Amino acid sequence: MKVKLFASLREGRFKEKEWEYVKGITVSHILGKLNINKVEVGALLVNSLHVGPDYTLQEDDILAVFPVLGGG
Amino acid sequence: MPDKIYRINMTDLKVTNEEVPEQWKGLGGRGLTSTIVAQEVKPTCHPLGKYNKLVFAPGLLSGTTCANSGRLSAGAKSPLTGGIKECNAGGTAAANFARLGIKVLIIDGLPEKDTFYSLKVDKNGVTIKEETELGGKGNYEVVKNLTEKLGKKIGIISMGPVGEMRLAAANISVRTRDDYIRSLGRGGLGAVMGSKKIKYITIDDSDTPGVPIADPKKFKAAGKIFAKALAEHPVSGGALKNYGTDVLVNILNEAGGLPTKNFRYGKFAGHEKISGETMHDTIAGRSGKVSHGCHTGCVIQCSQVYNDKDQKYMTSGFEYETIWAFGADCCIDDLDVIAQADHLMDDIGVDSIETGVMIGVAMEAGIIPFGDGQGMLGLLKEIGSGTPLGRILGCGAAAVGKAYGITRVPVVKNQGIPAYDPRSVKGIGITYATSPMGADHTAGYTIATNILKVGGFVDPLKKEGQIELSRNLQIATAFIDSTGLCIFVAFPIIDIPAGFTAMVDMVNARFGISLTADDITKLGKQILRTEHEFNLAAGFTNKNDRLPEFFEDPVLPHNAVWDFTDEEIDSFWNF
Ligand code: SF4
Repeated sequence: MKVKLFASLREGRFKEKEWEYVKGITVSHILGKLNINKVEVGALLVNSLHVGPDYTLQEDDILAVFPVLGGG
Repeated sequence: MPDKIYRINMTDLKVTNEEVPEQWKGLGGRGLTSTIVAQEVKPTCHPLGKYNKLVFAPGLLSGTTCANSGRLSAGAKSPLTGGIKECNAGGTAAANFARLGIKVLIIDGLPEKDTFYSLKVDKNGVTIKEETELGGKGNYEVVKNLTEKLGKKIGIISMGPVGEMRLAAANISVRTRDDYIRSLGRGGLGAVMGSKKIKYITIDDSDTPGVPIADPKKFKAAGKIFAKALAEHPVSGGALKNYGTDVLVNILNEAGGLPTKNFRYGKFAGHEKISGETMHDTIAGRSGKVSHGCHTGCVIQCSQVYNDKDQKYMTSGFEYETIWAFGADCCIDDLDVIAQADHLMDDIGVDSIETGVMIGVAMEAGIIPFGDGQGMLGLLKEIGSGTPLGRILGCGAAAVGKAYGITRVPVVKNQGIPAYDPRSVKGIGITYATSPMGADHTAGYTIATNILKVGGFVDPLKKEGQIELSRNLQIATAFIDSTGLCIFVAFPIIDIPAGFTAMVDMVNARFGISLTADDITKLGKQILRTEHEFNLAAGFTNKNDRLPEFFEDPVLPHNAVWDFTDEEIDSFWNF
């Protein structure tokens, strides 16, 4: 399993990291471990698809966590 | 002093002014330029001919203390699309016009003599002069020359050599207070300015009383609430300031919606190298400015000042769409090369989105290979110097596709499709198909809801809800584009209701009127319909509201296809 962080969420953390898979692990659990406050989070993507914080991850998943972003 | 309309007739070189008629009083920015173009321009006219008009209008809130209110609208019949066009940009000109009490500047006719002219706008009105010195010069030199002569406070609107050549990708430049350049980019309005032979307009707003406010107390109170909403929202208060709009590279790549290699793939291997995160670190490491406002009063500051390796200025207002076009779409994973392109395009005066999409098509055609940064810069120079190939390239993506017999040409109504793949971000596809402007992401920015999860979430890969989403956003945007507010205020006002109310209150307090939220929706609808009707009268039909057929081919990683039926797309106009 891999976790990728973007923009301000990289500060004091990392860009990309292998994550030890535990059966039943949710996105929320990982955010908690990383000390990422839910209000900071904009989009969560697993394997290029939007998911919610309750999503249960699989062994080969790639999770991407973005802060609230804008642009255009 | 009531606001005035100035008419500049370039055929007999005369200027007149008149009072604002009742029906135009509540209009500004896009609402006003589109209304005037629809009422006064013959829809079937040649965009470069005597019947077209070039209209400049500040927004309803421009020139006031309201945050982010300095956008200037320009309108005309577009030489690129053949339909109506409005584009807006920062810089100082909108506030300069508003302080002079100029509601709108309408330029019509064509001069007979083969010479350039300038317009001098100040408290005494507008003066037309022959311009013998700056013809052929780039925008940076024009700005430098004029600020040296006229001082640092002068507002400048100018065109580069590509506008002089009247090529369909030419844009119009607006000076910022610190001598950078912002662009009225899309749709070739620089070519219309070129046809009227106006090299530049200077605007001197000294000795003016400032913008009158009907209810100053109410205005001030609403202004505070509005500014607070902008400061509090994470997008307008932080993300845009730190990473600029280029922060979108990584999220679009992750979602598989980053068009790559002329819209072949949805992900780009070099995404990290051209991302907002990399740009942030590069700028910080070269003593540039990570955040910068394109006009006084911008508190969001999505712009930046990008320096080269020797810490010398390269470009400012370095946007996601430009970086995407030259980066992912042309497979050039080098921000410095893209920054050079951005500088060059500002100088010669071409739209960076149209030109980037065009280079992707030129690569498809084999003029240069994908990924060839130096070759790309060479082609831009050809446009600036007007070689025969350069002139074809300077007419945009559709023209190059035609000249080289290519079918993979990402355009709608001849305008290049920006930065978001409509197959994997379906809402934006509806905006591209239906916007009277041609493919324009800003016209109804569904990315907020489809990708960023601001203002709710509509699944980007499903058709459900996209038409309604695009319609609601296009209506709201038509209004915001009329206020002079930067479209990025939409992020906070979607999420913070008090911010929205404050925006309406400011417009009301400025003019002593009492618009409601319903009136705003009505006005937005009216603007869209006016623009749509102009296009129909110009010869468009619903068949022009379609994406190119290559979008029926699946795009990785989702194998997504463009699968809206004609009936579904046409239902957009049921309002
Ligand atoms: S947020 Fe960006 S585009 Fe908007 S006014 Fe500020 S600098 Fe200009």
